[in-house]
Amino acid sequence: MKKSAEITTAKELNKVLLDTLVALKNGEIEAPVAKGVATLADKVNKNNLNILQYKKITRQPAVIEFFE
Amino acid sequence: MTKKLEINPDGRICNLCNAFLPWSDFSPQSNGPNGKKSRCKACEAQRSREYRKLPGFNERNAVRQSNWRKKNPELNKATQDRAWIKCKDDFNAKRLYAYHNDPIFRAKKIALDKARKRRKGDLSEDKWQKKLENQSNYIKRAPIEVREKISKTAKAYREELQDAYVLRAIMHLPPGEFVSPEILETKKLVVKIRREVKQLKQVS
Repeated sequence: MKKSAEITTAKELNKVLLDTLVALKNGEIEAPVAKGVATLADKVNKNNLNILQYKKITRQPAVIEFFE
Repeated sequence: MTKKLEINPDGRICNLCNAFLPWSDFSPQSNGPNGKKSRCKACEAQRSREYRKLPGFNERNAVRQSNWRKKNPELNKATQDRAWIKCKDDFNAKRLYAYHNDPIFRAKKIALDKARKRRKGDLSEDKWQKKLENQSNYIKRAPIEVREKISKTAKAYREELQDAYVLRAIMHLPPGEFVSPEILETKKLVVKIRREVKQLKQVS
């Protein structure tokens, strides 16, 4: 079985988002699909930021694998 | 017998740097024979700069100024008023511009306002409400040029997706907070996609 494509870093996420933007502008994707991708990416981003903020408050080193 | 001075119409030699310079490079002196100083402007500036660096100059100057202010308070107030009238519009415009562009300035202003709100007990309620109304109508009462400038900058702030705007959009973070650039980039892309979707909806 093939492995499903996973997003493991922030750079990959940005690349996916850029591709969706270009596809939306060219008319290859419908608007609701792009909107769904955007909301998911936003949730992921917010979650990471929350983790970073929590680490800052508890004075832990602010490092996450997602940004490496 | 008084000696007649031969005045060169082109210029004269500076006493310090010994260079021949045009009359425009010498500052005026009413009691001088030519109506000009004997040293050029650059040399004078250098001399005064060195004099200001001497030890104890600032302290002596501060004492002299405070003594003068105590002696003539009316003159002091008049000079202050004159200066304020001159720079009032510029000062207010700069402050408004900074509020809408400089995130650090805005953070300081918000913190100050909060502190003032805490001191609300000092004022009666009517006075406090009047003060709040004045603050909210400040932009409306500003001159047209200032208002145009503000609207332009605010538009650019929103449309160009500046970092401060994106920070506010993420989770109402205070301006000036450091967030890694990747987070900002993803948020920017998300906002762009949402705007594109909105435009498509409006067209259809």
